[in-house]
Amino acid sequence: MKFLKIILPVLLMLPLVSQAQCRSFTKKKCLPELEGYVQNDNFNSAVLIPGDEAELLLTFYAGKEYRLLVCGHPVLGDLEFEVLDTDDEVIYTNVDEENEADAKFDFKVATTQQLIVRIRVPEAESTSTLIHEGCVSVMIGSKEN
Amino acid sequence: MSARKLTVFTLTVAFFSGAVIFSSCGDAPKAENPEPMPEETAQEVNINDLEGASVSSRKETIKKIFYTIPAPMEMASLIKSSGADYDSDVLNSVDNIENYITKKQQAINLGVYGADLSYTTMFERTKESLYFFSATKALAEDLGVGGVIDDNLITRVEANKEQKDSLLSIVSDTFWSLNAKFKDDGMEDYSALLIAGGWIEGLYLASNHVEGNDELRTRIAEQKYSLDDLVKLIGTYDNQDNLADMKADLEALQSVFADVEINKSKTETSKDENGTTVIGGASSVTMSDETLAAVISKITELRAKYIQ
Repeated sequence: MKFLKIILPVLLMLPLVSQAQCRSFTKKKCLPELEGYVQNDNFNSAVLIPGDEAELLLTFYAGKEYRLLVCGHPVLGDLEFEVLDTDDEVIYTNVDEENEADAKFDFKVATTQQLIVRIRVPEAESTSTLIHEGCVSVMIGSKEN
Repeated sequence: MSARKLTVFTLTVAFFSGAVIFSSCGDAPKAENPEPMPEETAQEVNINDLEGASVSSRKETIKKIFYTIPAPMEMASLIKSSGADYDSDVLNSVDNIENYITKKQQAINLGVYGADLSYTTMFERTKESLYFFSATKALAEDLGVGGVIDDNLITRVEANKEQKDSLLSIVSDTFWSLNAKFKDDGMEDYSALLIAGGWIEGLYLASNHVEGNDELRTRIAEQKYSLDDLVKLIGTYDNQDNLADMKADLEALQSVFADVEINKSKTETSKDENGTTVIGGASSVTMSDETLAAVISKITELRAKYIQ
């Protein structure tokens, strides 16, 4: 308890995660996963907590091959994501036996599509009252089919 | 993640954050482990890597929406793959850089030169690519984000100037870093202007290669999707003063694209011979000759306004 009395005030003074940290985290931990693809140059990164959701809408062109990478700090656990069309029909999910917890989805596009990527940070299993936050980046790489 | 690991993480965060506070060091500290670690502990290092994680002061959950548009590199790739020939006359002259005095002009034309750089790189025009890289560097410096294009990056460009794939990767990395840096520095409106400038130039370049090119005509019609996303993207930023003109211009272009016809059918998925998912369906995007002419006219007008 004495230890916590010392630690808690320190925790209250904690600096929150900055965008600069997210950029650095993404560059080091996520970008290498897009090797062989030309990355989209938009910076889609946010600091999320358990229970948060994020959504990305993007046009994918016919005749191209894509890699979708949902990259989060390990403190957030395995991020859940699904890819939907604009009618809200699920095309891919990593919350199934086949793709369990996979952070990457490689696919080809036969006809140009607007797709939605929906991401969910799982609720924390811990009973701790402290809530952890971490960077989540959604990255898209493309290459010729 | 187990409760034990979370506790380890929390205590590690607390310990090192204390170190940060008391040492007044700006960067997130790295855990130093002089002794080799057993496997289980080594796995925890991932979690204990403080960069990109902390203890949150927020309790309410949120839903974050990202509006994203395809990169200018993708448009350059579409132009090349449609069989179009390289045409240096359609590019924005690097001599125009002296005209870009305001930060707003600089941010838009950083995007314009980025699209031109993507185009020259895609067509393997090394000399021109180096000119546009220099223009990009100069504008980035004017905007206070020149650190992204440092000497190390220039050395990489020089060393890889004959390697198309490496250069494509360097260009994409550079523009991703510029966008990120703008956001780091609270200049999100400039990131939006950069993206808008790149999109306008990409569409302008495509429109200059479309004559007799049916594939590119379809690609231009499909820009209706991206334009809608771009307008939404711009609408998400707080500093609308810098963005109001651009938003109005893009909305005017949206009204021209309104005549593009989209016939949407059910999305279908299949697997190719390698087991990769293929997303398709019978959807089509078409536009009349009149609509194409109106799009070309409008994008030419907008592009001229912003590069002068």
